Amino acid sequence: METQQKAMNSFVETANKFQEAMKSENPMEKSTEVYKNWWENQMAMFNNTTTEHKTDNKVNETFEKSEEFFKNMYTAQLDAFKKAADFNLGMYNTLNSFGKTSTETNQNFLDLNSTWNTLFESWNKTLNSTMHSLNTMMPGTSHQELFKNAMNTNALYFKLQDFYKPFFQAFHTKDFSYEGMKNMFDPSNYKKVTEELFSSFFPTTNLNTMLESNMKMVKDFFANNTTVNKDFQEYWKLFTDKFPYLISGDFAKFTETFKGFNTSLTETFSPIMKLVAPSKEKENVELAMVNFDKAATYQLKLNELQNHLYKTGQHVSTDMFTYLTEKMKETTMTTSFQPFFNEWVNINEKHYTNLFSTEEFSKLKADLTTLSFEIKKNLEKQFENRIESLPLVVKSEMDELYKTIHDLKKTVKTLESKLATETTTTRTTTKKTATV
Amino acid sequence: MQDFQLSMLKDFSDNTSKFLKGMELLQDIKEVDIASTPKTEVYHEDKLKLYRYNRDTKATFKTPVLIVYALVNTYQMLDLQPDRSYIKNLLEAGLDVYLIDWGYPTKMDKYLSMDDYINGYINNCVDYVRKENKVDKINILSICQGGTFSVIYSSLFPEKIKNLVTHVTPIDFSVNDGLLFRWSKDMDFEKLVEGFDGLVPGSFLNDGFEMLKPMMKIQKSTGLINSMEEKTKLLNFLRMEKWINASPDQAGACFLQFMQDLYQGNKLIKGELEVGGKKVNLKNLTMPLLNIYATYDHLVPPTATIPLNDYVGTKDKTIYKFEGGHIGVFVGGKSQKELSPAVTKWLKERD
Repeated sequence: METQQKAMNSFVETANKFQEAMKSENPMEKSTEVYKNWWENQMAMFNNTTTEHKTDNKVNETFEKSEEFFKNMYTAQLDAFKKAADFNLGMYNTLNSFGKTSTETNQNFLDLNSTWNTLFESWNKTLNSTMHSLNTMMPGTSHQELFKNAMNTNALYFKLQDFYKPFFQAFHTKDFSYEGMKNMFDPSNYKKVTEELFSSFFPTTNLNTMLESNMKMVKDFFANNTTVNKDFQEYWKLFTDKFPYLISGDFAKFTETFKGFNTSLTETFSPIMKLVAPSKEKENVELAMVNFDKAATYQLKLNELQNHLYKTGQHVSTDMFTYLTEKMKETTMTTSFQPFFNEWVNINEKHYTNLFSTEEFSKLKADLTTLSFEIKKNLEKQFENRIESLPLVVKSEMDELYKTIHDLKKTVKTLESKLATETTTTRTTTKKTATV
Repeated sequence: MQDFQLSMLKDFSDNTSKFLKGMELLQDIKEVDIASTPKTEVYHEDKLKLYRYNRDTKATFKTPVLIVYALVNTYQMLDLQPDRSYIKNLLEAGLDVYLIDWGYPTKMDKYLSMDDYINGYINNCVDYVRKENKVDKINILSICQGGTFSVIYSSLFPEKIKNLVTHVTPIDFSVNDGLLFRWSKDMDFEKLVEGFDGLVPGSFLNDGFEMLKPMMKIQKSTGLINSMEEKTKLLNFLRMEKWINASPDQAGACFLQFMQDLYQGNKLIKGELEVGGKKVNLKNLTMPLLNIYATYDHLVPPTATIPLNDYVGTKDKTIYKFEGGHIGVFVGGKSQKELSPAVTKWLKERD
């Protein structure tokens, strides 16, 4: 722990020295010296730690954890500092623009920004992995979640910096206009900021992937029982061929196509389902087919909701342009990103609160919640059907038991209460009789 | 080097220093203690526990007070830290304080209804406190949904309650102020409860509350970065986080009725609410009422709280405006000097 603290202090001190080095007359030489000193310092600390603990059997386990922790931290930090050295070189080249063309200077500047962001990403990973390792030694699990949120905010902060860097460049080269800024706006890049901000609405898992086993089951069922598998596959191919409408955002067209397909599917299979004897397997197939419908509707609505979030993000950007324009006019443009970030947060709060309070958003959110639960219950029912023959208690059976227990407890309490009241009444009556 | 680049580097370096300092401090913090005011368990029923707070001196109030907190989150916010404890302030003012700890429901409790909570648990706790203190009536001090339950209880059993204090309590659910009230209108709560197998996770509710202020997570995390260098600030932050993340799950039957009959049907105000087969009539609430609301409450807007006074039967009713938020009304700095003195003064005049 002591070594860990020393390492951290050393890093902070070094970061400050690095900053000073970059402001100095010989940034390249100075920062290389700083980097070299830091590296030697770290290795010395690491070697001391390994020497101290190697012979102590009692702390072997701690040592192994510490070793892993330090290795992770130093490897990642080394990587970060190598990039810092490259960054420093880049800055040196930018500053030292004598004899270079303006194109070369500008290119250096852009490379600088790119290296800077890579540097930050790398450092962010360092902190994340450090947090992860450290948390295994720290009490309480809530700390990790807390720092994870803080890290994500930090990452968002710098993603935003990355997004707005062309605009800040325009300020400094005085090549600025409202229209010019709007042209610089890259919707696909800002899209990433929106996804970072509302990650819960942008799930990484694909619902269709989850339902693949359902699809396989349906296919197998028909292959085993009937000869219409070929027709089913043809209809499914028709469905997937029409899928691009979903990606284009033309929801109305997709809905129309889907409804047509769904009706055809239902009409094709309903006579066949009548022929098959009722069974759990049949029930599961029917449930699976209902789930495809729900999954498609869910995906449709999720895309609609995501679209709203993206569009609102664009409104935020428009307001930010106005803000920046005003700042430019007032010549009070700050060199620090922090006030800009604060304003961005406030504008987001305003726009997204407005979006969230619309009836459309509220209904979409409600529909998505309902659909997701319906799909979940459907899959649970299928699962229960499958394990019916196994000696396992299922949820629906437990539900019956819970209800019975609840009703019995309530009855007992009511009776106990009545008994207590009657006993008190009897005692009072007996007392009164005795008094008389 | 351009100023902007320097500024970015400074931000980077400053934030790094703060994070690292925070990591150091975190290693020193072995436990995040909340709700540390001493108390004794005096009664329990199923998962419920009734506590009586320990007093060093005799209470100066004749009538004991029973605190009824909401089912959502836990009572510990009222006793978050030693220098910001509403409960401690009430004790110091001379009150004999009892508190219901609802516990953590499991699947076994999924069928617990509003009837079970109000006519069952609350009634049994009220009877216990009355019997222990040999009084016919006690005071109830209630918070948020606990206030809604207490209002319903006091309307059904007015003979057992001497004075009723409600804090940030939703009563009129017809309003659309605040996203929570807006969103509740469209949600299919039956599907929701069924989807969660009858036990609505506390984490689900927390996620919903976070979304009411879209940028709250970002603002909180930025605040955290700035708190990391100071142990006291960091510890206070962690205490609040611990409380927020310790949310109990909700028994499905009770949750469903609360959302359908109140948030969607607004049956309490309309006089249509039935609990355990008994119709709830607010005109039967005939004991003195102190109704406290918070001006910047985004969870329970003032328009949902204030109307209570228009519907109750009592003539002795007071509305108290507190400048703050839903939680700030209890844990804010201003609250320590303002809220408990106001409440205890009002109770003393009616003791």
